[in-house]
Amino acid sequence: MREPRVVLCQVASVEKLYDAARTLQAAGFTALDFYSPYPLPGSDEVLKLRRSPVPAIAAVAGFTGVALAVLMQWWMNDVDYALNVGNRSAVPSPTWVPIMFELGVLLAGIAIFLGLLALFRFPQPYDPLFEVDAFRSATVDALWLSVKVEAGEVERVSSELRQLGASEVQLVPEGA
Amino acid sequence: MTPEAAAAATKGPLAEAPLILGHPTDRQLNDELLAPIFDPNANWKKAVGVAAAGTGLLAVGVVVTIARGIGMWGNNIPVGWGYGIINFVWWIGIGHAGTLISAILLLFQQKWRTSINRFAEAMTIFAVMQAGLFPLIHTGRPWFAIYWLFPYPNTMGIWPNFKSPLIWDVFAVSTYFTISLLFWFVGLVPDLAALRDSAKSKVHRIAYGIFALGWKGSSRHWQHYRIGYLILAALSTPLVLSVHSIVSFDFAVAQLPGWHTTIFPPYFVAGAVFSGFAMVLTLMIPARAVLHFEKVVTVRHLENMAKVMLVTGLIVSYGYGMENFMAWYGGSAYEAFLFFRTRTTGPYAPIYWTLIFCNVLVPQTFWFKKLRTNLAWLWIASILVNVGMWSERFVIIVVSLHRDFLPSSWGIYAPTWVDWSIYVGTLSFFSLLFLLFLRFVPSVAVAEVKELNHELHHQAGGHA
Repeated sequence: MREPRVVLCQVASVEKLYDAARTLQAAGFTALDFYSPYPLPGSDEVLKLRRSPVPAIAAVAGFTGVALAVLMQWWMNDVDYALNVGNRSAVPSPTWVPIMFELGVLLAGIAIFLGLLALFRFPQPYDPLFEVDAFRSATVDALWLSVKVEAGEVERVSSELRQLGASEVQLVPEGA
Repeated sequence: MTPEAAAAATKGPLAEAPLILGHPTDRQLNDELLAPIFDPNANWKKAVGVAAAGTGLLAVGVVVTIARGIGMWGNNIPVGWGYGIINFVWWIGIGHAGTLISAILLLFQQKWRTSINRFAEAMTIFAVMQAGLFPLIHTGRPWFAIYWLFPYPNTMGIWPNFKSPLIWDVFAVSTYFTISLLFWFVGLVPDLAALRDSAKSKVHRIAYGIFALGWKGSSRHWQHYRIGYLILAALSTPLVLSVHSIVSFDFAVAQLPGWHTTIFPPYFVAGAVFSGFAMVLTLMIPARAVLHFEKVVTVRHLENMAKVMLVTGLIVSYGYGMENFMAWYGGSAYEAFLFFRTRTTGPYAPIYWTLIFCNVLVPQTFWFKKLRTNLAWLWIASILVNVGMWSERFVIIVVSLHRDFLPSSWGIYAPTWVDWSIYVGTLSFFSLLFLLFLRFVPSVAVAEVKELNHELHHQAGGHA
């Protein structure tokens, strides 16, 4: 079976972008994506995206950090080399709190960063989309739409997109 | 005066000045904000030369300290903490405004943060780098510092004492630096992609393409990106409060008069924000003129920063008042002596009065709109506030230490040339990093300004 191809086009406004997306979705094409210089309000609903796992990643990593901080301080200062400071309560100690907080934040922050890289499959120095020269405006000032279609349907989808008011309708070259 | 400014002036004092002047298109914003990178200022190289020469002083100071020992510094018993800690606290405090602007104002949805956040975050990162240098050099042999500072299995079988605020400091400052750097870089990625895509030369395209990691502005990516950025902001907000609170514990848990105060954590945090906003103004006022960012960094932005300085300056003044009140009300003879004799009339009294002048009196001028919007005065006042906040740390550290409980152990502290060269060296190193940042990195968050531009446009009814 042949790989699906990607049709790319530029759209003049957010309303037109969403209209085009809904028309394509109604025709059965759901592998859509938008490209814009800043986040578009409402795009999650139009693309029917599932909830992002990023908050869950941050929560798991953050609580792991807190737990690690408790274990580390308890084991190092009360078990492996017990320190008695002013005969204050050793377990649990309020002096654990600052490092519990700091390690929680540290691990959550690092996990968000690495989680985003993993979700985006970054770093990705090459993408066939970069072969389309006009697509460079996607990070500057233009709105673009991409749709994955079977090779046989490229023509039909392209002409439909033109009818919907899209410009620069192009077939993305196959991945090098 | 532009038509917008004229319109705002006729609307009276309650009308809000615009956050973006004119009605620029995305392409115009993009080109204007990225212009300093593609078309550098002619004087940039000269400025870099001066800053690099100053950074040489830092290298000299560090090499002399390491080769000949900490004895080259002026600190000695009774003043065991001198310039090293003063400058550490000063620099780390300066960093706090960056996180406040980028994270706290983001959570509060303050639109005016948008065009200054990148700038302030860069300042945070560079300031924390300078701050971190001081305790690191103060260990004497920095290459061993990892064994002393971090919990690392060692042949003696001992661990750091986690009941000490000094070890909390290690965790707080390293977490703060890491999170600030990640937050800054995550915010930069869309702008690096914009740079890659608007670059004309191949070198720029490849270099920025590497750092942009492959960003395309895909909506599927924006979804994760937005929530990730917001959570990073939510994490940074309590983090920034924790860092200076923990720094203040270094002092507050001691018994020394002048240090042993429960008001220290909030008073340190307010002081940090106060000095940080001052540093943003010190850097921003010349930078916006040189880089022609007046359209997006308007007088309203600068005025808002002056207002924040007024509020934090009042909190700091309240802190001074409370300290003095407790010294009188607490009835400790040692504390009363420190506050009412040593500080006001002792050998370092001029520094104390400089602090009162710069931190209590100077911000009072920000009650007046004429002075808040006078850029020359704002710039001078911002420098005075930084001098004042440095004096505050000097007063807290040196003045408290040099005359404690026992008059027979009193002493005088004076910094040596090594202390001075390291301090001036960090100022230069900070400037050098900043100049490199202005030249190679988008110093205004371009994607966020474009988004704001559309929001404002939308609110105004969508008229072009």
